[in-house]
Amino acid sequence: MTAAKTNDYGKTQPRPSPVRTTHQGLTQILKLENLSVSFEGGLKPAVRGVSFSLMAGEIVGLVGESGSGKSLTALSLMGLLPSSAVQDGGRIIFKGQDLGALSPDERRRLCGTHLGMVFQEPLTALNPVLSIGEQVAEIYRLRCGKSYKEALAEAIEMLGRVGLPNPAQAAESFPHRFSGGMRQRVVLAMALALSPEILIADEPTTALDPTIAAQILELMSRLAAGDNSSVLFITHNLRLLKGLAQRVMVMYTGLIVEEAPVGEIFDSPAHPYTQGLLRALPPGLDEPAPERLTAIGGAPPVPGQWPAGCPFEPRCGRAFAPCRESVPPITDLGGGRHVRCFLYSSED
Amino acid sequence: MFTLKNVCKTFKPSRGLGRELSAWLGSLGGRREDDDGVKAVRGVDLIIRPGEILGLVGESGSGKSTLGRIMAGLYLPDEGTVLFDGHDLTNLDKEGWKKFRRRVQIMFQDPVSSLNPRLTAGAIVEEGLVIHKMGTATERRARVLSLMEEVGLPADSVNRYGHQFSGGQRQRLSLARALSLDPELLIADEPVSALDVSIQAQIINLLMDLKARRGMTLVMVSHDLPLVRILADRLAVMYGGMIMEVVDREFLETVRHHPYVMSLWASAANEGFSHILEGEPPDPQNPPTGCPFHPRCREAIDICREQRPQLLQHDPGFACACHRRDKLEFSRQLPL
Repeated sequence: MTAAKTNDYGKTQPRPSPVRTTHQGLTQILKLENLSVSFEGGLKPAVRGVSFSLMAGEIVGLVGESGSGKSLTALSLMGLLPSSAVQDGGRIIFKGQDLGALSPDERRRLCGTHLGMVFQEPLTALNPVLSIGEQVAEIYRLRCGKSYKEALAEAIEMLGRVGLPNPAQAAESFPHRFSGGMRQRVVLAMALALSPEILIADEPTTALDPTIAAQILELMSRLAAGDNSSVLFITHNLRLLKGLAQRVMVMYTGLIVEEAPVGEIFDSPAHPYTQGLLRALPPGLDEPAPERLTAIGGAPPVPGQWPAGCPFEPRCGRAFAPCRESVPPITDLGGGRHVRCFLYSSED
Repeated sequence: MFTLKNVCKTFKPSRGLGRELSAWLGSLGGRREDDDGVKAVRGVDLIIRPGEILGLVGESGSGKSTLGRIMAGLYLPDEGTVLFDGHDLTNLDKEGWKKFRRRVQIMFQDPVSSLNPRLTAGAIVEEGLVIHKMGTATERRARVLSLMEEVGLPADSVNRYGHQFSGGQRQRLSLARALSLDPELLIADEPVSALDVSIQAQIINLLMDLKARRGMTLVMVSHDLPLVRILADRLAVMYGGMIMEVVDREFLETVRHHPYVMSLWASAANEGFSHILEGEPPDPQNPPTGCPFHPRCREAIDICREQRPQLLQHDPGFACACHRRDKLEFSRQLPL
C-alpha cells in the first residue's frame, strides 16, 4: 500500500513521516514500577518486578516466549487480569496518575478512553451476535455519549480508515463473515476509535498469514503515528520488531532481562538469552541462510517454579558461580541499555 | 519416489437432511445451488525425489496440508494419480496399504491433539510395531527405548502420559512414533509452528540430524518461508490450491521468481513496508478463474484472468506457473 493510495481508507490524511523521534526529550506517558502479578494458589509470582516507561509516540516491543509474563503485563495495564490472577505489587502510573489509587469505575473509564488493546485472536475478541457496526459504535456511544445514529456514522468512518473495502456494508455484517485479516482490522478500528494515547498490541499478527500480517503491521504503525499514540507491541517473534519498534524489552520468566534501542538488540545483544533467541530465529529473507540454527538447549522453567538464581542459568552457556545463587540485578550499560546479567555486573 | 499428476481434492459439504431441504427450497425459488465444496487442491503436478527435503510452503487455505495428507495416504484424490514407487494409491488393496504405511509416515502440527491421552509414551511409540507384528515384546521395548534416545527424550519418559510433557517434548514423541517403523518418507505437517522460538530450533535441528542419519526423504509442510529455507533442498510454493513455483535450493537466489513468491519473500524480509501485497488469498469455495493470484498481482493482464497458467520448467532447477514470466521486468532478484 503506497502513499498515493490514502483514499483507500475513506479519508485523505497527511501521511506521517516514517521516522519517529527517539527516546530522549519526549514526555513520559506511562510508567510501571516493580509490577508483580501472581496466580491464586500460592505460587511464586508470574510477573516479578517489571519496571519500564513508555514515551509519547514511541513504539516499544516486548518480546518473550510463552509463560514469560508478557501478556499478563499487558492485561494488568488494562486492568483486565483474569479472576485467578492478582496484581500484588508495584504501581502503574499513567500521566502522573497512579492507576491503583482509582476506583474500579474510574479506572475503567480511564483505560477505556486512553488505552486501546488489540488481541491475538480477532474472532474471540469480537462479539459474534453483534454486527460489526454496533460493536464499533458502542465505543462512541458509551465513551462520548453520542446517539446511536451519530455513533454508527463515526464507526463507519473508522472502519473505512482501517481499510475495510465497503465500510457501510461491513458495518451491517457479523464477525464470522470476515477473514482473519479483516477481523483484525475491525479489532484495530475498535482499539483506535478514540485515538488512545497508548495502544497495546498483544501478538496482533500471530494468527495471520505472512502477507496479511504485513498489511496489519503497516496499518497499525501508520494509524498510531497519525494519532501520535504510543504502542506497546507484544510478540514472541523478535524479527517482527526490526523495522517497527524503536526500543525492545526482552522478558524471560516474569523478568525483563534486557532493554535496549532496537538497533543494539539486533547488532550487539547483551544478555545470553537475547543472543540465543537471535541465533535460534531463522533470519529474514534479506539475510543469508545459515547451515543450521543454533538452538537454546533445555526448556524455560514452568511459570511460578522459578529457580533461585538467574532464571536462565540452567540453559546458559556462560553461567558461573554467582548465577546459581541469586537473581542478577539490573546493570545500566548506558545509552538506554539495561541488562539483568552477572556478566555485566560491576561488583566483580 | 512420489509422482503426483494433476491431483485434485474437493471437500464436499455433508449431505444432511437440512442441507437437502434448503437446496430443494432454493431450487424452487429458481436459485442455483452454488455450494460445490471447498476446492483445496486444484491440479498439482509434483515429484518427490528419494533422499531430498522438500519444503511445501503456503499460506492458510493454499492446500499445502491437504496435499501432505494425500501423500500420507490419509485422503484420496478426487482426480489425478498419486504414484508411490510405481503403485497407484487409488487402487491399493489392504495388503498394499499396510506396506505403504510402513514406508510413509506423518507427524502433525498440534502436539496435544495428536497424542492419545490414555496411552503412555511407550505405548504410543510401540503401537505401530505391534500393528505391524514386528519383533517380540522384549525387542519392541528395546526398540522404543532406542527411539526415545534418538529423539532426545529421557528413558523414564516411556511410562509418562502425553500431558506430562512440554510442547517440544511432545513433538519429539510424535517424531519417535513416526520413526518407529523406519519410514522411507516422513511428512512433517507444520511440526514446529506451535512451539516457542528457542524450542523450534531444537526440533528443526533434530529433524535435520535424523534425516541425515537415516537417509530418509522429508516433506516439510510449513507457512514459514524463512524457516523452510534453512533445511529444504527444494521449495514448492502453493497458492489457491495450485503450485506456483518449484525451485532448487541452489537456484533460490538467482532465478526470476513468481510474483507471489516475491511478495511472500518481501513480507518476511526486513525491508519495511515497501512491498506489501494488497487483498487477501482466494476463497477456496469460490476460487478465481485463471491464475489464482491474478486479483492481487500487479502484473496481471487478460490472459491471467482467463487461462490457468501451467507449471513450466524455465531454467534447470526452476519451474514456475505464470503467464507473464518471460515478458516482464517484474521478477527482479531476491533481496539478498
